[in-house]
Amino acid sequence: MPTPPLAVDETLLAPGRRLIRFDGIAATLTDAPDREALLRDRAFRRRLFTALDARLTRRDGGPAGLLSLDVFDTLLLRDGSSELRRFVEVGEAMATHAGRAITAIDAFLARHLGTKASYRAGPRVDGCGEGSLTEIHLTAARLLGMPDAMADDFVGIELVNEAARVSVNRLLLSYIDRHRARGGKVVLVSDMYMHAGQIAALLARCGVPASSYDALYSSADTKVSKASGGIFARIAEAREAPFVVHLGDSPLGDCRRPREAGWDAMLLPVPETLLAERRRDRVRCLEELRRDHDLHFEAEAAA
Amino acid sequence: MKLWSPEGRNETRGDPAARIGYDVLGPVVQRWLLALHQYLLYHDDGRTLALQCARAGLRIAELHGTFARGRGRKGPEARMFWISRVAVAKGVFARPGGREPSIGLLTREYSSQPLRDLVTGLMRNRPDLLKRIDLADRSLDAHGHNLPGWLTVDGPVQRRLIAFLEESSAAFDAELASLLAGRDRALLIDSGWQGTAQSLLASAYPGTDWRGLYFGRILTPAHDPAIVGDCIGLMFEAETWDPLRPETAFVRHRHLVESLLEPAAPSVEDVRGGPAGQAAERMIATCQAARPDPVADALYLQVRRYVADHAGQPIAEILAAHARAMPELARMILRPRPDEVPHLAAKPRSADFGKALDVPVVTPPSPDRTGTRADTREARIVRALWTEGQIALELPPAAAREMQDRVRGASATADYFDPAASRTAPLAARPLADTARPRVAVVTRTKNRPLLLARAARSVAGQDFGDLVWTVVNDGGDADEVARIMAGTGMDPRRMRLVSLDESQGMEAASNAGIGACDSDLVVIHDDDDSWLPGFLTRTVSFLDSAAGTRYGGVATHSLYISEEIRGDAVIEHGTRPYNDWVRNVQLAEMACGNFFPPIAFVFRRAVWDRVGGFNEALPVLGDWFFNMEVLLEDDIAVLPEPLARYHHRDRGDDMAGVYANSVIGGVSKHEEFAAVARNAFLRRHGERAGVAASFALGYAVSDLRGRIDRTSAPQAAPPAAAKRATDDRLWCAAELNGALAGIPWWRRPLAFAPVAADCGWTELAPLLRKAGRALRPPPDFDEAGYLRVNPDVADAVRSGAMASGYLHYVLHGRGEGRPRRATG
Repeated sequence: MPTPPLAVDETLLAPGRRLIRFDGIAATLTDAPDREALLRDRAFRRRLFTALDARLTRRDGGPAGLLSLDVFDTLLLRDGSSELRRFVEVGEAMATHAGRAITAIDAFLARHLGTKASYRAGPRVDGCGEGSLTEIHLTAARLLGMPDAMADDFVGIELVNEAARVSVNRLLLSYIDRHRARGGKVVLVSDMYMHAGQIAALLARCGVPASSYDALYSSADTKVSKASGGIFARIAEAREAPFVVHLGDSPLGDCRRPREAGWDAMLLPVPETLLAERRRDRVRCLEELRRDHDLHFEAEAAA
Repeated sequence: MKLWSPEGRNETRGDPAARIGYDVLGPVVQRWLLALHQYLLYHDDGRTLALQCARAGLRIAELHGTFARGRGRKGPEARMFWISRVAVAKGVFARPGGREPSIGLLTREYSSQPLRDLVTGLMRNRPDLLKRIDLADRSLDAHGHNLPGWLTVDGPVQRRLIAFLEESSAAFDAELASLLAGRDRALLIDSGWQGTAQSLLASAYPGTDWRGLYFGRILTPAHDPAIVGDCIGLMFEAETWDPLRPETAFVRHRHLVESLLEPAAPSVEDVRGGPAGQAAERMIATCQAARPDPVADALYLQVRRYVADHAGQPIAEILAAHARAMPELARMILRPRPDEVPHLAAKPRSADFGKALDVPVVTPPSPDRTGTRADTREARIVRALWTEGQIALELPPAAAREMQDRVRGASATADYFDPAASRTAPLAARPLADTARPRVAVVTRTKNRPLLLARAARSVAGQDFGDLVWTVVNDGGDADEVARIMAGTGMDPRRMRLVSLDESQGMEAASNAGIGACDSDLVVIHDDDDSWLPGFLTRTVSFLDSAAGTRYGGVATHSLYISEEIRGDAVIEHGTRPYNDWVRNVQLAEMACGNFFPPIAFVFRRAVWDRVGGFNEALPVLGDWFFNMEVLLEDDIAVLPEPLARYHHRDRGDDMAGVYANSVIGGVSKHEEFAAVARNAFLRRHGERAGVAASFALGYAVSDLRGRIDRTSAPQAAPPAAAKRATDDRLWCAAELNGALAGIPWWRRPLAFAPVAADCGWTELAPLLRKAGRALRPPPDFDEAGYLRVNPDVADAVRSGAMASGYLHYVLHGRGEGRPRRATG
């Protein structure tokens, strides 16, 4: 693997004293007040593409490296709603679909209990576990007294709901096209309870066809993850590539762990304003659950 | 008195058992049944059998049957599993993987009783077979911990016992095969707590996926780590009470659950179809016929009524009712009032493993017995299965509350003297991406030592605490090399800074430059040749954020001295030993003698650094010592006696004075020269402002010097840090005593108290060790828990306060008695 070029910014603090930072693009994203506007910005596009080209192509004209991307909050951009809000909305849609006497709050809680069971009792690989959306909704359907077949409907409902809360990162999608046009390969690697097929369906619904990438890996299938570091050795395309560059928003799973696995990695974090918006939404959502249902969900979720 | 106002059932108000059982325990049990239902449904996959384990399984099946009525499917097929721990131990004895754990369990259960009791207990349901055994055999006098060796002897008693166990195993095999009927996963459903039977079954039948669904999971040191992941505590998984999780109150009174779910019937101690199969069938029939007693099972009857009354209750209502009831139940368990105790103590605990006795949960104080040696108030509290309940019966309310808090670790005796420090202040969670002001600045000064810097980078990146900024100061070395190493760590790039100085400014100037180039609340100097254990920052930051830590300007952990050398491109570690682990507190007078903790172990508040004006840049070495003394003029430094920092020394090999040298090893002459310079500079700077402190320091230095001169005539044990090997118990004890002495200010030391000499014998040490009591710490390689586990008489003595620790017992008595020294690891 070629040594990746150092992307550093230097500031002269005083004669003979320089401050060097390593977080140029990451810091710009972190501080962005409007991510959409930044991703449309031509100067940022040029800066990002230059940085990626420098990492993914070789000066001697050798084959390009493998481009690996995280999915959620990297290729698919989530909005400012909290995860809790999305699950409450999924519960509402599940109840509407199930009809009968199923309430939205019970559907939401059945999904929550299904999630806990899937994570706690699901199969483990090398000591690692991951939830499974299929298991989550199968358990939820049963807790609601529904037939097993309803689980497939619930998974579909969840994907529709997810699609409404994400948008495609057009900037990265266009870089994917550029990379593939020069013969480079692209894989998607997600730490997620959705199985690869479910993520592919969501991507397709959002306008990213399967032809845009060579393979998609999800920790719901492998159980080992990016965060644990175990998934990287299972990416077949990486074994065949001269080198790999991974992009993602998690400092641990998308930056530290891939580097420990011998990959190059670039952190593309979620802007702080958006994270703050999600935190506020979570607090609001917790308050609504307490007010409307006398539910202390924070304690329940931590249990 | 605070009145409990639950969701209804006014008619229960006048009946305490009904109020506790229906209003408080009912919603909690209902929540547990929902969790059980949730995991049963999750496992309903056609390959799983649910096994309701006797005896609790009977009532669990009844309650879950009521709960699941009208909720659709109930989960996988469920069958009663007529077992007890002893029945499973018998049942797996002849299995290839079962023999060893079976013998292990029997050994533990009978470790302090004669083997005669073990044989009688295991075979008591076959008196005809027992009659054929010579129970007067002298070999049966040995204690149960000799069982593994005793079984290897081909004697008549052994043969009969083994035949009995092998017949039991054959029957158990058949019973299990019939139950499982080809299914490859079994869910064991029981009250708790650490899956002892599950562990035996998993070892003996590895082809089956054994999982346990328990009310709660409480692990003891004897637990089987191989099954922990499959040992699911439905309401909690904890070993101690956690104030943020009221369900963990059951850790303090798990008997409440056992009593609630245990029918008034004997434990099924034998295997169906085995040599005592008829007895097993009789026990099963008794269990099945057992009806709840209106008095002894009052709580169960109320709980059962609650579950029936709330059949079909929506999930949200179950959760909400539990959230309302659980804090009150936790209060009743942890701080019960005397009138509540009889209801929550419930039935006495019945012993299993062939032992015919009932153990009371609490013992009512009896005036006619009070005062006898075995029945003092303290003895009853120590003996009680529910300590908080016994305390409520013994002490007036205010005193009882204080002691109840103390026994569960919510407060300590020291809190009386320092109540502010006892208030818990959990570490505020901060989002990782909030880079505006990181909690900790980690400052590393380096110059052309890429090999060591790369290790330091791994140390910083490996911390389990993420809210930091790592600032490296390149002090005149190759900046590109430093940048390359930093960029390769995989750390969040937003959390790294490199300050590069074209010309070397010296270590202290480099520290100041690094600290000044970033913002943070706390600072720690991480030299490029040192390293941390992963929990260093989590522990130190948590401490400084706690109520106890707010009064300190910094905190130092204990350290490990790493002896190493550089060979080519590799660092070779030769040895590790504690470094100055006698340190318990930090006094300015002691610091004036010399620095006794390294920078890598010390986290300090940035405000203190500001107040003292930073590190003294005029000192080429010993700047950290000077800084520590200046900090101590402003603030106190706490000590966490956990070796979380690794203080590396290249004290071997060819490069001791080269580019990779320590400032301590490579710069010995500079340290000698500048010790005086630093001390003089300190007095010049602070002599006027802090004359008293300076006199103190001088006085201590002089007394220390005199002490050293006096000791030159006799060999003396060094502090523990220098003890050659921790396994040398005599030297360790001598060093411990000297370490304790070092912690006493010189002006308060008894005049006659001289340091213990290194060649001091056990006879002279013994009385000093008895006085030292709890102050004598076990060496790192002594397995205190293991020693107590295999010596239950010692464990009893420690529990009752008659002996300070297992290690003290070992050095005073155990060695002479030939008890094995338990080594860790």
